[in-house]
Amino acid sequence: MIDFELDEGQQELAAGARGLFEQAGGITLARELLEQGGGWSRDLWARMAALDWAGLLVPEAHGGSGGGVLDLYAISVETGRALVTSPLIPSSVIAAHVLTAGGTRAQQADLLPRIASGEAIVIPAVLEPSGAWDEGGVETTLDRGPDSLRLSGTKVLVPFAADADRLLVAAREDDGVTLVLVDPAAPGVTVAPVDNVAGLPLSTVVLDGVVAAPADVVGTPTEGWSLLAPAFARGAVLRSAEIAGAGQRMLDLSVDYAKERVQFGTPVGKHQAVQYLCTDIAMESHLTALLARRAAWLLDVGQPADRAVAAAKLYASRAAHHMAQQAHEVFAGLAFMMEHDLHLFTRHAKHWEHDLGDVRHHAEALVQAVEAEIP
Amino acid sequence: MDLTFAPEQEAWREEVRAFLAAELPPDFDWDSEYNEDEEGWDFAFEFTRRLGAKGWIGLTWPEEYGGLGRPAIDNFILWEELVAANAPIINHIGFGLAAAALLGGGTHEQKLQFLPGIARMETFWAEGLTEPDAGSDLASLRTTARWTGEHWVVNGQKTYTTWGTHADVLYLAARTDPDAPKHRGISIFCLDLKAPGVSFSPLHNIAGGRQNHTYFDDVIVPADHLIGELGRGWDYIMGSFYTGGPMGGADREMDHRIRQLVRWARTATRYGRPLLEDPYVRERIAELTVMTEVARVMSYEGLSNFLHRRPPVFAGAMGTVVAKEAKPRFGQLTSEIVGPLGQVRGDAPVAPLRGMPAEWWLRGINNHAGGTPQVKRMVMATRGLGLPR
Repeated sequence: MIDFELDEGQQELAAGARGLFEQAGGITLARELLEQGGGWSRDLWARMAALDWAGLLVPEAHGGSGGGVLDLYAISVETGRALVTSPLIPSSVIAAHVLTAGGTRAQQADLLPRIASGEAIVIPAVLEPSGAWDEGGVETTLDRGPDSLRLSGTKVLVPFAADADRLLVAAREDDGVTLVLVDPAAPGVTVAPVDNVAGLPLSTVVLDGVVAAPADVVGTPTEGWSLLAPAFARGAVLRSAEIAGAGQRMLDLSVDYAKERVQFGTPVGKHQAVQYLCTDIAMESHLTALLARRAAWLLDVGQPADRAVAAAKLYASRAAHHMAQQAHEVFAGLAFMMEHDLHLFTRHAKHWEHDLGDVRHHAEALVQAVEAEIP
Repeated sequence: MDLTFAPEQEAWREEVRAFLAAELPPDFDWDSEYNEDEEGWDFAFEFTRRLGAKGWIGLTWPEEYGGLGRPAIDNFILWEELVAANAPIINHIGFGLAAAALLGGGTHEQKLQFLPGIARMETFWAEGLTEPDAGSDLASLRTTARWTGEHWVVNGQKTYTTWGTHADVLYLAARTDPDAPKHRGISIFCLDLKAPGVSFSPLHNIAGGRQNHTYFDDVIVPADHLIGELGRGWDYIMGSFYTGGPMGGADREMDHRIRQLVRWARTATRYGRPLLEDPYVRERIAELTVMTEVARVMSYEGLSNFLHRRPPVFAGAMGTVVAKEAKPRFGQLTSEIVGPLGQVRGDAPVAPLRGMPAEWWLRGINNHAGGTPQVKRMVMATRGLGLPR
């Protein structure tokens, strides 16, 4: 029977995540991580992994719990609501999906159980200084020698690079893209953290003739993008879920304030201009959730999802900024000060807006999906 | 979560599609609110009667009232397909407002009296709610129905009466108790538009349709033409606006237009290349598609909430706000894609897509029926979010 709601198990997962994140400090933890630097809590990540969340997309044969994208959706709405930064999406979703679909037996045996347990962090390093999220944006070079290959190039905005056990590097080979596992401690790899709006652990990774073995190649050489694309789709949907969760929290903050704050002798929430701001946030957070949830379901049941994924992330990317902007208009000067919580959401929203495909990227992907449907 | 229709529902969809393919020319596009051409109206009447003959107008109603007693999801599917095919179905006031009030609040006798005629498209209803001084503030309406002991006598004026001169009867809201509070003294009637004392003066809308001022001068309405309970008219009006069963299809109409636009933009050229290769055009097609996807998830969520008896989100106002804010934007983005010739109407050789973009844009300006988007925003903010009134 048609049902747009999460099932009971997923709702329990969401409730569990909300409880854990509140107990771990909620937004106060996000503030500490911003002010003290570092941007994420290994301790909280270990507690998430202990609940098997890091292995949700890993097959049970490799130590995972064999869940689906909707399970991760339920958790991601809550990571968004509580501003929890973790390797869940890059490592446990994107890298796990790529390795499960295309890794060698040795790579799977080595990495998947450790990804599932949260011990190992494997991070895709794909985006380059052009900022293009498609295959054409990969310019890092790959030169093959008799027994080894060499990688040179620059990867930007790589999350958790300093803490990663492996980077999953996308490199250009002939007309395609080849994926290679690289140890960030290998000679020739430089990891330089970059200052960013959200205070997230993002780094520039320079690869200068880094040597890798043929056994480190994941999937068929030159066909790496076909492994990466479906993994990115899952990641983009889950980022959208985070935006939805953050939007719900920004809505609660804004509505509560608009009811209490009195100016001109009346609560500001009585003014229709302020009501418009609040209804904007309500609509956009709700629709972001619906679009992401439908895309997650399509991915889980294996139906064509390109159009739904692109629409979900395009809408979410725009909503990420706009919901934060509207909330700031409600709070005016108050939320411009560091002591207020809203700016923590605003900062994360800027990262989520661009991560795993910005508006420009998904607009083009969406039109291509539409063209493909029309004979 | 599951958005899969059951096999018997998919079979029903195929049955509807086959009927529509046989009844309608391809790329059919005609809308009863924007046309007065006799040929189109005759076709719409005939089409709606055929739909009624199959029992599909009252698909979900009990069989004794002219329906087929089918589940709500079948009606959702029917409407997805009707809208996708631009089917020229008329009498929305009859099978929508009047039937909703009757099914929700009518007596058995009232249902027997009115519903079969609506189900077979024997009575064509116009809307008699809006008055010159009662638009968004509908409850301030002043048309009166006075009980003489034998029948009701109606006096007053309605306006923007779409379909008025084509229709047989009026779904009339009138004040039956002048002393009751504003929202409590209103009742709903079925008023015979051919009765003595009814007159119209024409209002021509900007897209080419005729609406009307409708005047009542001592119009006699029989006692058994009251619909539902006396004094509960406001509940019926609100009920049909906010909790009417889900009708699918808003996304299908947009999808259909996008398909027409993309096919055209593949071959039409401007600035030395096919329009579809122009980044400006591509960006706008992406925008139109996002609006369609939004309409789709709202449509499915509405169906899901109805089937599982969950209340609609944000007091039921969000869907209307989103749909109404999308409509003019869809028309304008289409106009920007099509370019200068998007202002050409009719089937002149230079008109892209037989002049439909101009019609779509004009229809975007018709965005007030059932309440303006601004009024719906106020409802959403106050009832949906609990902000002060």
